[in-house]
Amino acid sequence: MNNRLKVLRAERDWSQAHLAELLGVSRQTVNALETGRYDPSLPLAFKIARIFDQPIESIFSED
Amino acid sequence: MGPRLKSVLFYIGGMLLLGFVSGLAGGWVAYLEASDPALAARIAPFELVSIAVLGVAGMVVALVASVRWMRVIDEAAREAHKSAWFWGGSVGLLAAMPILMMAVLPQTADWRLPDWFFGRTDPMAYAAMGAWALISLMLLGYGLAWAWWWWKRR
Repeated sequence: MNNRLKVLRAERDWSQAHLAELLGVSRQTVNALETGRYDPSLPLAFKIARIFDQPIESIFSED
Repeated sequence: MGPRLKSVLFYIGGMLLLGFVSGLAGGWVAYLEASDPALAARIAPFELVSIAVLGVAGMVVALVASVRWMRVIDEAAREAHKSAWFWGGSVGLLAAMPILMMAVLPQTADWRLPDWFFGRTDPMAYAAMGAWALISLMLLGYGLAWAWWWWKRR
């Protein structure tokens, strides 16, 4: 899957570490999410959507 | 540091302490046995039971610490461990298959194996050596698979 995580994070000038702290995951997990090499679970996807205040479909898309 | 991580460290610390105290006790008993062979014969059965009890206690503590650890880490780290256990453990076992197949053939009956346990060549020692070899291969596979999982997602 593709995602706009990096773009959304950059718009808010957040570091990976800060986003990781907000999501309750490690910085390595945030990096893996941003590179598209790890797909989040449903609860984590909902959490991401809540933090960025956007619908899941606007953040994640199929390949 | 969250309370869950603290509890994991508590259990790991407990294991280390248990190992340290066991080592001290074992050294003290070995010293007593060396100075009094008659005493050594009398306490030998209790030694075996004590080692078994300590082994089980250590295993239980390690299991509890592992469960708590899996609950503390995030979902990606959990996936890494699950993937590493399946692929690394399976490939490690598969790597042992050719050796296991050869070991049951009569052509290998005369093969001389190194002794891993202080020169012991009894069946129990060789069985233990085989078990340790399998565990080592699985652990090696696990470590490599875990590192590969994170390296692919860096």
